[in-house]
Amino acid sequence: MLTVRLNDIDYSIKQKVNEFTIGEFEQITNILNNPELDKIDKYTQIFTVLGIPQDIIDEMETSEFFNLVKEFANIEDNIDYLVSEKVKEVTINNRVYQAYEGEEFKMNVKQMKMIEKYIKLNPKTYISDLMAIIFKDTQLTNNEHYVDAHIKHKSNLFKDNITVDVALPYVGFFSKELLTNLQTYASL
Amino acid sequence: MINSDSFNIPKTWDQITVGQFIELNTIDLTQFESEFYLNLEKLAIVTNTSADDECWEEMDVMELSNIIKTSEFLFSAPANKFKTKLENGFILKAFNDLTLGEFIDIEYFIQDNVITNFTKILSILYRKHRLGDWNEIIMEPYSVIDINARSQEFEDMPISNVFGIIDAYAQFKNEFVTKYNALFEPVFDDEESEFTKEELINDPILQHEMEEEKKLDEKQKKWAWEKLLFGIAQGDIIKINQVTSLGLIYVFNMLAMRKELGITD
Repeated sequence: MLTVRLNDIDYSIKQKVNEFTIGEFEQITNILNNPELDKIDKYTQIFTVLGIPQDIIDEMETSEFFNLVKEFANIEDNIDYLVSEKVKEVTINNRVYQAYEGEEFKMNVKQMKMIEKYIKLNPKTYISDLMAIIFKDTQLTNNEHYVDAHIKHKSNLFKDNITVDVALPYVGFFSKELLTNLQTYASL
Repeated sequence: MINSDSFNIPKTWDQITVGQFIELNTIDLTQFESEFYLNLEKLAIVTNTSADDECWEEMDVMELSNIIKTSEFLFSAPANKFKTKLENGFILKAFNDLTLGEFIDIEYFIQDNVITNFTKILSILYRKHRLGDWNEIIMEPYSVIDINARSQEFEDMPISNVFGIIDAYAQFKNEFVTKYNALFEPVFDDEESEFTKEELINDPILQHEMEEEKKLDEKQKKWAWEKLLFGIAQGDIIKINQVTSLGLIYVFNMLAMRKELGITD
């Protein structure tokens, strides 16, 4: 966490992957990938997402702003979250959401189909959708789990309550499965 | 977790029926967003399941990829072979022995849709038979066959037993058309226009004439077989059934002879 003092107020800015919620991460990546924004616009919007009021940013001196960008980008985080260990379950509001039961996570065809569908539907917020499809509410059955309204509810819940370090190993897994499938079809 | 042991996954075309082959080749590709779903649909067809069945949806994606790899024969065509004698007792009628009516019907089915009409074409080419007093093979007459009912009898047959028959028939037809080219012109002629596109665009009268000619040509093509039958039956529609029962080669030999000798009556 990066702490900066602006106008005599201390602001804590999330800086590392394990500090961002999925929702914040999705917003940040969408800002960074927006070709219509220049570098200053991008970081202005990112700092706003991370809790610094817009008027404070607007009043910052240019050198001060660039120093903040420099500090924010200077992260020492060597963990490759895409291949790190997968968290088996998360608890939110006293409800347990479980990704798998056995020793190893396996993605089934239904999940793969749904994830592909949701990526097409919401390409900018697919991480929370992916997590909502993978993590099942242990109090519900499979029938309820795959209902679109329930997926949407969980997607919103996970956006604010799960950090990106939990999600990225699953994103990595899905990408790898997709790549393997593509390679299979290419070889046929 | 469901895996490949839960199904009998076919490994060769010998294990695919004619019905399944038709289904595989009539898949509406626009319905599938990716190769993944298309291949899942193919596997569902050859295992007589549905892609939405729990057995597939619960399967590990890696397991499905492995199954697809073992079913790679589905990505190529069956061997271009056929049997002359089938397990259900039907035998192949020699192409040279086809009647005019059988030939016309095969041509109609091929032009309409060779895949969806595949079993109907098989019903004409493969027939029941018996031995005559002199041990000669007597084929079941075409007129007694209910083509829709008969075509169902070919659905469960391995595709590898009959797939090559279409190619063999096409070869026969090409040779036949080449031999009787002059007689076939109204049916198979696809002559190109003698005028260029620019000439047609710049001359509205010529364009109109060409369109009229094209319409007439289309009409003639549409009714070409009927016109031929009508001519051979000398305008007597009661005789058309008799004409269609005549041997194909015989009819065309006679027509060729008449044309060569200039007999027009």
